[in-house]
Amino acid sequence: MADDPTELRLRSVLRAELDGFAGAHPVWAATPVARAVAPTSRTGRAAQRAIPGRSVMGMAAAVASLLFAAALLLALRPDHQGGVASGLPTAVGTASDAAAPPVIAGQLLDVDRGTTGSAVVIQPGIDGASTRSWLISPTGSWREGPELPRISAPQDATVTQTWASDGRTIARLAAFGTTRYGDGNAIANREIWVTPVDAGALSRKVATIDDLIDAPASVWDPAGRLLAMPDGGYVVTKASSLLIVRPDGTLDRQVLPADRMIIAPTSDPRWFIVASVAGARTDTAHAPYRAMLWSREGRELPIAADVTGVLPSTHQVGRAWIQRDHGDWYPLDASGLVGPGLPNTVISPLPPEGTTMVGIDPTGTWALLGTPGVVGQTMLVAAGTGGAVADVQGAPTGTLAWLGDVVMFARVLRASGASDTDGGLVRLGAEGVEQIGLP
Amino acid sequence: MTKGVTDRFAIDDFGAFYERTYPVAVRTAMGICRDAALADEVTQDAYLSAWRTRDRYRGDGHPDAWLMRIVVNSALSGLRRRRVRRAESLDETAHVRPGPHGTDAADSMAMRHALDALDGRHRAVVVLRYYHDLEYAAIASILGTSTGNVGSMLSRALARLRVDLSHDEPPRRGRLEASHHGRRSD
Repeated sequence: MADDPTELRLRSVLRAELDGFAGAHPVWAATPVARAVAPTSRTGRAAQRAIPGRSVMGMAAAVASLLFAAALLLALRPDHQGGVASGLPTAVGTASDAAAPPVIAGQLLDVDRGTTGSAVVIQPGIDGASTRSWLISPTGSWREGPELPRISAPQDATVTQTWASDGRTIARLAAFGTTRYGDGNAIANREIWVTPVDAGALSRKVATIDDLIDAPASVWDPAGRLLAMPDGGYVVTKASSLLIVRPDGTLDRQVLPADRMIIAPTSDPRWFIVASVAGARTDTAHAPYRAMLWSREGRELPIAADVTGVLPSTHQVGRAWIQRDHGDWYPLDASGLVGPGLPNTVISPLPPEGTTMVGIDPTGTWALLGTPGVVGQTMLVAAGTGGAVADVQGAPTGTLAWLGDVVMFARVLRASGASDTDGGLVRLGAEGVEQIGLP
Repeated sequence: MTKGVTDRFAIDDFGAFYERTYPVAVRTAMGICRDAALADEVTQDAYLSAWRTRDRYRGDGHPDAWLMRIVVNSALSGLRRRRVRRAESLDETAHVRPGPHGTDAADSMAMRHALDALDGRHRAVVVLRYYHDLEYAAIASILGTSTGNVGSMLSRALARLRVDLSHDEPPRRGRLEASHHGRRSD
C-alpha cells in the first residue's frame, strides 16, 4: 500500500533529521565504552587506528549505514533462515525492558483515592507532554481512559503539573514559569484543566488562578496540590482561598480567614483541614504543626494534636487520618479530637523512620505501608495490630484502589545501582499477589 | 552456538563491530530520544550492555539485529530514567521542554512537534518503520511484542500525528490545549 501524505512527510522529516546526525563517538577508541572495558581487555585493533578525517568519516558512516540497514533487513526478514525470534537473544541485559508493558510505573504520578473501589492511573508522557490514563479496578479489570492533550510551555519556561482523579474526571494543575518548582514569584500563571473520564470528552480549562501559597514543596507537598473531594471534584491545597474544582469544570472560590491555607479535604465536603500560612512558610523538616478543622460556614475547631501527616479519609471512618509525631495514624473526629482512644487506630509496625504510610482502606481495617531502601517493600497490614499479611517488592507510585482486603496499585521496582523500572499493576491481598500487565 | 560469540565479539572485533554499526545505532537512539545528549548516552549504554552480555548472544542470528534490539531498549530505558529523574527532582511534577524554534519549515516543525508528543515506544515503532523501513515482524521482534500490536501501535501513532498535524501549524506555545480543542480560555 502506498504511503499517505502523513507517512511521506514522516519519512522525509525523519531522514532529514537523522541522516545528518553523526553522534559524538564514532570512533571506538575514543568511546566511554572502550575505556570502560579496557581494563579487562587487550588494547584492541580499533584503538590503534588513526581518527579519520571528517569527510572520510562521513562517507564511512554513510556506507556503514547502508550496509547495516541492509544486514538488518536481511536478518529480520521473517523468512530469513533462523527466523526473527530465534535469531535474537532472549536474555540480553535490557531484555526485561522489551518484555515490559508500555505503561511505565515510574511515570504514574497520581491515582484517585479509591473511594469508589476503582482508580484512575495517570501516565504522563515523556517530557510531560501527552498523558495517558487507565481506569483500574481492584477486581483486576482495567480499561484505557482519556488521553490528556499536551501542554506546551512558553519559550524558555517550564510547565509544572500535578494530576488527580476523582474517578469521574481527571484534573490537572499546570504552573507556567521560569523556576524549577513552580512555586516562585516568576510564575506567570497557573491553570486548572479538567478532563472527563468518558470516552471522547474534551478537556476544559477551568480557570487561571493566583492563590497558591509560596511554601517549600519539601515541607508541604507530599500529596500534591489537587486532592479529590468526597462528593466529586477537587480542592486545591496550599492555597490562600478555598478553590474547589467541580466535576462540570467550574471553579468554586471562597475566601479563607487571614493566615489560613487549605491542607486537605475531609470526608464531609463542608469541612476542611487548614493550617497557618506563616507556619507553612517557616516550618522545616516536617516538624509537627498545628492544624484546624474549618467549615465553609466559618467555624474553626482546633485539632487536638500536632500533626505530621494527613490522609483524606474515605467516608467511613472519621473526617481524615492524622499522623501524630511521625508514628501511628488516628482518625480525626468531627470535634477535632484525634486518638488514641478512638477505634481504628492504624498501628505502625516498624519504627517510624522505617515506614511510609501509603494508604488506609475505606473501613480503616487495612493499611498499606512502604519500607524505604534501595529495594523497597510494600506491605499490606492489619490496621489494628500492624501485622503484615502480604508484601511485594517495589513501591506504589500513586494511591490505591481498595476492595475489602485487596488493594490494587501501579508499582515501580528499584534495584541497586539501576534506575526505576516498570512493575506493572499489582493486586495485593491476604490471599497473595497478582501482577497485571497493561498493553 | 558458541561460534558467533567467540568469533564476532572478541575485543578486537567488537571495536570494528562498533564502528560499523554506530551510525545507525546512534541515529536510531536519536530518533527515539529526540535529544542528542541522551541519544549519545543511551547508545553508549547499549554498546556497554552488548559488550557485557555478548556471551549470551547465541550467534544464530545476525548481530546487527541483536544490537538493534539492545539500542531500542536502551533508548526506551533512557527516556524512562530521564522521566524518573525529573519526577523525583520536581517532586511529582513534570517539565515540558520548550518547543523547537528557528528557521525550519513550518510543516517540518509541526511534524517534529508531533513526534515529540509521542511516547517513546510509539516513537520507536515509527522510527523502525519509517526510518529503517523494517517490516512489522522485524519491529515486533525488536520490541518483543506481536506483529498485531505493532500494527496497532503504528495506527495509534499515525492517528495521533494526523490529529496534531491537522492543526496546520506548530502548537502555539502555552496555548496548545486551547488550540487543539477550541475551548474557551479564561
